[in-house]
Amino acid sequence: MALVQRTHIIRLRFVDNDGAQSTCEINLAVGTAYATALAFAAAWRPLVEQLSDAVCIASDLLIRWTETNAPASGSASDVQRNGVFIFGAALEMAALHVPSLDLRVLESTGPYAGIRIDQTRPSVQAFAAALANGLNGVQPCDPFAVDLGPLTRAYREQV
Amino acid sequence: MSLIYPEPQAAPQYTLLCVPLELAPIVGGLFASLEPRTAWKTDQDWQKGYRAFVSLQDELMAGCLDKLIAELRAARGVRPEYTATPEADRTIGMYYSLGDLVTSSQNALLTSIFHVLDNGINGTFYANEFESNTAIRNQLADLIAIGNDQKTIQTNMFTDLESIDGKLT
Repeated sequence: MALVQRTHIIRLRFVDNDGAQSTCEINLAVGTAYATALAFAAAWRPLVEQLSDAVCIASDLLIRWTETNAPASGSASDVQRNGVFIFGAALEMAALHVPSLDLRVLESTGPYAGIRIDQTRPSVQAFAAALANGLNGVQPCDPFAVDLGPLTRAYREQV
Repeated sequence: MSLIYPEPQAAPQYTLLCVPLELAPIVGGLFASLEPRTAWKTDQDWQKGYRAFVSLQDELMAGCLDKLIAELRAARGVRPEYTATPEADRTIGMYYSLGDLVTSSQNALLTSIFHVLDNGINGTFYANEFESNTAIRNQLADLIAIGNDQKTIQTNMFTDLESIDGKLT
């Protein structure tokens, strides 16, 4: 198993008058410094915009790594079975979804057996604490820049 | 299709939906499909929609109906003959009805009124409820006894008047 870095991607997202969206992507070499890549994105965006009559609404810089020798997934794995972890209090709740939730973390007794995630399990507690309290000095936030609060609920979802 | 978050009503209204627990993962997944930015027309719509649908996912695990039923049952109280029945096995009839509670409340009020009168008039002692020791009947008896002894009254009156006169001079 090895994670290998791939090219950076600058992705511009466009929206048309129907609200439909599409993207334009360009790759940059792995060695390109992040600040250089961001400067490129800022300069590149107007060049693309002048060729489109849709509106550019977002610009993303993707830093990528890819697993080159992944082991086979377990027979019980299913990425349509998510674990949803809900953080924070009312009005500022945020959700994080973990694909192919390990069924062993689910409660095994009670009315929520097989549905609710057992928050007393060490693996669940370590995961929740890292997000709620920060990891390596970094505090994660939700899409609206609000720091994640404590884990309130966690259960299995099917998408 | 991009969604516009609806204007909230001036007086918020809610609807109660009972979701069979086995469907909660699927319903939660449907709610989760409305989290991405692409589901909403504007950033403002997205932020409101994201918060609302994460909150709905949260509520799926809240067991609110169970709590509501538990609160109602606690308020009604279980009939004494069914206290040994496991809570999960109890039926509606094992709890006091609203009529029982009203009757019980009325009886309690009447009993309380009787006790306050009994304590005030007769001096009957009701611990932690009515504990006055100045019963009207006892005071009347004292007055009657005093009235029967005119000399005592007169003596006391002279003593009191002399005391008052002394203080005035």
